[in-house]
Amino acid sequence: MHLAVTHYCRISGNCIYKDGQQLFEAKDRTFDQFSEDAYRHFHLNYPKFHKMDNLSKLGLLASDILLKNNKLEHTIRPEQIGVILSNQSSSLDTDVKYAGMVKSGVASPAVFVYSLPNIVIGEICIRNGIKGENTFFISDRYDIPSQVNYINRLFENEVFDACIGGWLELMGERYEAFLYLAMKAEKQQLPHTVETIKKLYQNL
Amino acid sequence: MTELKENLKRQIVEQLNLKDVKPEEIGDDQPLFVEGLGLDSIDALELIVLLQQHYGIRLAKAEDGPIVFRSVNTMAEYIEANKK
Amino acid sequence: MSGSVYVAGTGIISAIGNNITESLDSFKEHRSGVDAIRHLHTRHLGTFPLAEVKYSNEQLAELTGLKPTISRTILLSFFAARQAINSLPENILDKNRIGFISASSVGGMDKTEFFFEDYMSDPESGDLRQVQHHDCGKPTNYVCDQLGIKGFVSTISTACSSSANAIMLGARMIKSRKLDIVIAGGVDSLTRFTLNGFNSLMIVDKKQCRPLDQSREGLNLGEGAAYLVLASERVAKEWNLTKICELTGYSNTNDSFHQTALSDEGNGPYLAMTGALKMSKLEPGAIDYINMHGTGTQNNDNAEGKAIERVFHPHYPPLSSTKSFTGHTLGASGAIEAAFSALAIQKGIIYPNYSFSEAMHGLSIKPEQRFLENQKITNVLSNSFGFGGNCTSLIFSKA
Repeated sequence: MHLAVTHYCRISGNCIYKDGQQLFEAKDRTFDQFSEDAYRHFHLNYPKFHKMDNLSKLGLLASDILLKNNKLEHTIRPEQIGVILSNQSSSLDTDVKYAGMVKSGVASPAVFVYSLPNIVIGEICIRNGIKGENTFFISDRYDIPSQVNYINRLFENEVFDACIGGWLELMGERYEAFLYLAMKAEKQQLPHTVETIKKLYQNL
Repeated sequence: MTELKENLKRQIVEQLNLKDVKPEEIGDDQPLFVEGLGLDSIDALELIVLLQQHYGIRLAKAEDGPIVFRSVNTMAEYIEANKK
Repeated sequence: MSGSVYVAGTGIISAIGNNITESLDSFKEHRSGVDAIRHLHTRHLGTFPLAEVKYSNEQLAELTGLKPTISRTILLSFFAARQAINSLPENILDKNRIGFISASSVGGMDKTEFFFEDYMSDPESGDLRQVQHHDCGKPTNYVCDQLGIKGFVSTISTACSSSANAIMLGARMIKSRKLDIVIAGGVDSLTRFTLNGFNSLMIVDKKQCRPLDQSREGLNLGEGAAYLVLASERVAKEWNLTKICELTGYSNTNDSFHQTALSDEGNGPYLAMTGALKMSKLEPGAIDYINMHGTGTQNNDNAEGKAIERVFHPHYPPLSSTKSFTGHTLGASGAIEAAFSALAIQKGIIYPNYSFSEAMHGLSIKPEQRFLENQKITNVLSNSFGFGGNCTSLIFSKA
């Protein structure tokens, strides 16, 4: 048994793609506006979305679209699904907003809560009932070989049977999400290798 | 008191990012937490910030929260009783 | 992955001591590091106690040879990491494949928040040099360069479980034969950002915190840094390293309930502890001491307590929260407590809670209240749970 990539989602330039197909576009909108548009277009129906910071909104959107219509919960136990993500800016976008609020005398707990990059993983897990291993790495750029090899090793050691991996970066209006789902499979249409992920990431 | 309650509803929707809720849809006596608007512990803390920011009232003990924030009515009563 | 991973060195600095010996003395002499604020400039001076490292930035700079204007996070990280590798034989780092994995939640924010103040009043003002080390990854890279480590470098940022996860990653890199030695741990320095933030969540105690006590009212924030030197079996043998203990089990899970609170039944902690026990092939009865996450908040201690009772009922090992002495050091806490756990094995120690009067209602567990030495300690479990539901448990065993 190996890990195979079953689905992937890309959000950048106000466009949303799943498995290489464009599903949605909203040009000339700020991220705030674009994320609201996408929320309504895909009928996310999850009021907590509006309370999230932008990094979490980006992650929630990408993961919802990634997992939509996949019978994830029926095949693999929640403790057997992992989430391994990375980015460059950590939660800096929110940190700056929060620092600004403190300066004007109002420390907002709802904003402070998001001043950590792994909260988006928490949100993805809560939304989908995922309980497996989860880590958030910080690096200058998306280090595909490191992340792919790491996920494969964890799979080989039976840490999980499925994993959401990828890059989730947002700073102001500059953002990029690339998430994929790798699952235990016998037949390998898209084996989870450095080559596969590089190809999928660079294709769009 | 009516104006206060209308303001409160608007402020609650804004402060808690309840984008799918219109202020006028919130009942005066509707429970805000659990089954009502489905608010959680972080929302409770934000309401404490709201009290301070808009009404200059400091709720020092988080345990008083459930009583004060039970509904728009209880919040309005608390504000009337404590505003400076 | 196979082969043993040993702890061959430690470096630590916190409010209770600038090295492991001083830290132990503080436990022995029952001295908590929680005190009136001395270094942090904050409007909360006089309201909250903090567990600050006793050295000022100027003193840390003098001791480390770094600039006093540099981020406190870097100063603390370098201080502890250098201490960890100081005990190692000469040339060992040059002749082996080395990794440096550090964790932090704050990064260089202690400097950025000063820049921000100037910048917000006047966008033309503010010293940009204050923000150059802001990113969580920058202190890691800077310290790595200063230590002359050339090899694998990584930064993990998963809130309060960060440095426990750094240690997990280090062990995995060794077991998979990618690296021979990993210096793994974490650091966080106190900032106004953090203090204001935790205060807005209303989980900060205005007095000395009381983890596991029914009367507990929250945590005390702290700062510090700690690093473990992890080494493979082969390197430990070849270089005749001291085997302080072995890292025999670890597990990470997501509680999947709320961004900042644990589920009532402590599901994430339960899965993390049982996962670590499974990996180390130990029954719960084999654990001789639990170093709890034990922050002192209503939510954590209740959830963690419930999870411990689910795993260990009816025989609970001695347990305590050393955060009652060091405060909650956030990104550094996993590593600081891992260092204490490793030492517990080496010297047969059980750490006490700083104070205790009444068990949490609905739970049977009570913390140890005396510092004990020369006990038979073969296996220690250390818990670290972070915001975002990130739960990690580590198990250390006699080598």
